[in-house]
Amino acid sequence: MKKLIWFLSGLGCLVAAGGAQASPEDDRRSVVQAVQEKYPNIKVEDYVYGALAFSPDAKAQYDAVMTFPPYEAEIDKGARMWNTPFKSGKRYADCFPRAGKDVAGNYPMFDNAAKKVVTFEMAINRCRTDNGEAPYKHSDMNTMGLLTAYARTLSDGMKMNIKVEGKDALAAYEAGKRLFHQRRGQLNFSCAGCHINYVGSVLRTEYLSMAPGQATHWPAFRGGDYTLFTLQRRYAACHQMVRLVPLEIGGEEYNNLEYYHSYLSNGLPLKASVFRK
Amino acid sequence: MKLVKGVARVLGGGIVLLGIVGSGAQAAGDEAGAALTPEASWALSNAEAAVALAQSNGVLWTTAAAALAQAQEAAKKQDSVAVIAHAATASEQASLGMGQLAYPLMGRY
Ligand code: HEC
Repeated sequence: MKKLIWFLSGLGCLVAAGGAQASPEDDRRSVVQAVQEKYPNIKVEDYVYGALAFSPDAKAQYDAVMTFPPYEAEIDKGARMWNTPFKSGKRYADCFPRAGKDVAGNYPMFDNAAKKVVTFEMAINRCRTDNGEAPYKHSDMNTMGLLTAYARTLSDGMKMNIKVEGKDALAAYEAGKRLFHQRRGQLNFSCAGCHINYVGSVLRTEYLSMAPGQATHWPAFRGGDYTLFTLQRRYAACHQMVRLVPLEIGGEEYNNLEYYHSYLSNGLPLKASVFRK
Repeated sequence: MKLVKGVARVLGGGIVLLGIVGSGAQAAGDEAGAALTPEASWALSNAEAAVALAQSNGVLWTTAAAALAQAQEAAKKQDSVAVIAHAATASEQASLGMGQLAYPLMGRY
């Protein structure tokens, strides 16, 4: 009987640890621990390299590309956009603390007045509209994408620092968490299925990266033609992979997903505009 | 005798010709066609509603969307049989997508 009670209480703990009561910090620790149990030899600080952490060859190729990124001119275009004054005479730098240095790691943040998640892209658009400019489309890689390819580099080295404070913020976080862990698409797979359960396995030709660290290095320039992908465009690509019609880039569902997903990277350093396969 | 043969040939040809004209008229009737059968229109609007619901819940499968597009294409050609087949796939997969919302969550957290 005692044994049974002990067993049941143990089970109760497990359920509580996995249930909705867990705090965001419990969630993050638990996900990191799941990856650590599977790959004890990979250092947590190397999670920012994602799939490269499983393949020394791919990491060597990455290091070579990153010495002189062939897409440097694209980042320069973003820099020119960032530095060009608005009609109002102000600049993006005027909209952010420290002129935009070391800010991106605070996004997504929860806006308690508007009761919604605000991504860095939304903050950029708010800066534009406050200065009489039309907002960019979040899915437009030639405007918003390029701009963030530079703007986010101003936060290179900053540690991800997502905060979930208050009931409404927690609700948005929980919505993002559900989307991350819920099976979707004809292949009936969740983000967590690939990036936690099957982390390190090879899908077609690619190792599956670990969820913690995934939000730290956007946008990324991908493939032989260095196509620019913002984080949410990557979400859309992963959804397409499981045969789900992607959700709206810049829409509330992906914003909430980014909120949860970025929280999992808390404490890891940012580095924007990296190369990925 | 020659005449009889000739008449027979003409008659025979006429029957064949009638047959061709008849089937041609039939085919033309299908193409220009009367509207979809009530079953097909019902299946199509059902599928459109199911797909819209799945889309608004963010659970629409690409395969369901594709099946609906095929059903809509078939409707343009008044092909009721194809409309019903594709619409059924679209509706079924749209509701399977909705069903995923009730699945237990996956992965550690
Ligand atoms: C069927 C498996 C699968 C599912 C499900 C999946 N992904 Fe992916 N994901 C991949 C593969 C393969 C890659 C490319 C290799 C890699 O970096 O992991 C990738 C890459 C990524 C990357 C880029 C990692 C990097 O370092 O560049 C992010 C971010 C990501 N996925 C997030 C998600 C999110 C969020 C979801 C759920 C909406 C999701 N994935 C669902 C397979 C999947």
